[in-house]
Amino acid sequence: MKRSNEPVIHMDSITKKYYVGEPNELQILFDIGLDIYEGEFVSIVGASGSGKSTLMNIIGLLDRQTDGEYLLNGKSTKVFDDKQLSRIRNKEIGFVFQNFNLIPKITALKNVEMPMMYAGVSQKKRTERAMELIKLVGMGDRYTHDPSRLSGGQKQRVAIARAMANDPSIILADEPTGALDTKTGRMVMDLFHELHEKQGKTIVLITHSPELASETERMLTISDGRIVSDYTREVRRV
Amino acid sequence: MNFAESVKMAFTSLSINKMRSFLTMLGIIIGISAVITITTIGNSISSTLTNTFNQIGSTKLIIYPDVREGFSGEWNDLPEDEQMTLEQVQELINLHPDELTYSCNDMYGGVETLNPDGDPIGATLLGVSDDYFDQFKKQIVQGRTISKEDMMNQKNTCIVSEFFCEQYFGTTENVIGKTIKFNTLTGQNAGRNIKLSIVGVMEYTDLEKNQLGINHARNKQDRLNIKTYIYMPYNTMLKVMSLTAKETKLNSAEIGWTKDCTKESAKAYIEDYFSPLYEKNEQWEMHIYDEEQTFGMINTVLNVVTIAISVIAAISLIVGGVGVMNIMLVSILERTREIGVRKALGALNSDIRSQFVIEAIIICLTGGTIGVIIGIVNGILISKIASMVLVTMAAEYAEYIVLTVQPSIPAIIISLAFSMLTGLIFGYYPAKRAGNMNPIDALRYE
Repeated sequence: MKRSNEPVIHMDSITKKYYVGEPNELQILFDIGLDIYEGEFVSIVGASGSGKSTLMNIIGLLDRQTDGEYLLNGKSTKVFDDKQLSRIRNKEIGFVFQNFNLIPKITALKNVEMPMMYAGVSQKKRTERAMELIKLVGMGDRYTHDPSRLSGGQKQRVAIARAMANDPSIILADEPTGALDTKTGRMVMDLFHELHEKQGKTIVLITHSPELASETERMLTISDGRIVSDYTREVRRV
Repeated sequence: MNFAESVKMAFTSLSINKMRSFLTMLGIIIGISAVITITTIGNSISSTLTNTFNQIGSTKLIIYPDVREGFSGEWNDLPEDEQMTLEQVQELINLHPDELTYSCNDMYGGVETLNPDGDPIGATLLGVSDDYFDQFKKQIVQGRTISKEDMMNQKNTCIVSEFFCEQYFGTTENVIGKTIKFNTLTGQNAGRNIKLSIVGVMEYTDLEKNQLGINHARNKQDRLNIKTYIYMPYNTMLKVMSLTAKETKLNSAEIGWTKDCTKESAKAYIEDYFSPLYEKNEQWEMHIYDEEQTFGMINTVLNVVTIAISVIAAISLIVGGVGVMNIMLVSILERTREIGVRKALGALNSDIRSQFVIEAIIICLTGGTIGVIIGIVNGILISKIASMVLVTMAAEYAEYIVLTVQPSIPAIIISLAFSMLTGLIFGYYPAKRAGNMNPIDALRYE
């Protein structure tokens, strides 16, 4: 796997506290230090309440750290305003959520087009690219369906296509198989492997399942808001 | 994200909740349709009246002696020597020959004659000015109208009806140039022989034929009993009747004005001439009747009604707007997660804000458009019914009453602009709230 010297994600001493300065102050993340390089498929494992979702929200620029430095593609995220954060989420990050989060009542195609719409891509190019992605995730015959007519696995595949829309450098997947049965969960995982292997995407997968995590080349374990292990190995998938 | 995109998105989300969208619009639909209905009716009445007055001739001022406004003394008849005379009117015209005109249509005289079979035929002699036929839209079917020259030179010319020709000559063919003879019946010169040469033949309208009884005449005797008019220059009438302008009393006179003059100046000239004549009379004065003033009064009433309805409509727009705001707040709450997802996918605060503002505007504008359509349809229907009633009530003017249905374009534009504004004002606060949502809180919202 090729690695550039510069990490895509660089975190140094990241902390996250809620209700700062109040009696019920709550610290979720303690002193997180982390480097993720281009093309890595990293899983972050931890029990619920361990702080892994909070970490993902900070990586995905949905939330801000209380303290510490987070560089995304070498740029400090501290100085970004709301508008810049939106732009980066739009261009650099693709989200895949546990509960799919497709926009109801509009077609799968329109859902996949949405990030491109916010990026200002023309309607024609948008539709072309969205169709291409929908075919890639194996949903070519369902693009006119709205989410209520899709099964869980199908929804998640559309969501992955949407995450790929603006060709982001990172895909953040938060428990992507959590709401799926084993079989469809397997299909979704295979899709991530495909994106990683064929397209060289950097993928950060959050999961509570050690089995899924063991499929990835690097596994971070988080417990009580601290990274307790970071372990890389050569993975051979069948 | 561009504007067309937002509009399309707004329509999509409105179509998802059709019933709710419709109920939200209802207040706006009612308000706007009320305004458009009333302005359409008002506008139709105005333009119908304008057309009708133009046909009947509102370009005339009618003057007649009338009791002064506010007079509270004992009422007496106007003394004979103070009655309006033709001489006074002619003098008034001669003071401003290029600006004022006198339209004579009310000098009458009964006449009698015998037709070649020896049957007596009655007729009414009517002294008119040269503009009479144009003004009353009489249809000349042969020959010409009375000319200025006929008037000036007191020529013995006349215009008769086709009906009269049938009674007098037994035919309507080749009557131009023929002479008719008859005796006067009324006035100090009763029994005079008058000869007039026919220069034109006119045809009565159906309405006039009904009024004169021509359509109802069943036999020869019925027809002989019908008196039609013989139109002649009023100057000539003075001559053949040996009347002077000074002796000719007028109940009223129609004064017109040329294009070198305005109605206001014409009024002033009339005022200037007659005021001194009636100065010493406490009870009587020369009254100037202006049909357009009546017309103006109707317009004033219509305007007051329109303003009243507009105020009610404004209130209903505000109520409708509050409804829109309420629904937008509910809708934003329901779609909190959607907003979170959109933000995660890269929507800017302003994208979300404009999406919801446009949605509110679209609700209001759609409501406004529906209201405009309902208003126009209502207005046209009511105007049609009203004109049917009017035609029955004022049958003698029926042919002049041509309903012109005209929705008020400014009212439509203003209504649509106001419904847009309502959407903007009442949609902005909820939209701003949506735009400023924190993405992570919105995404977590259950």
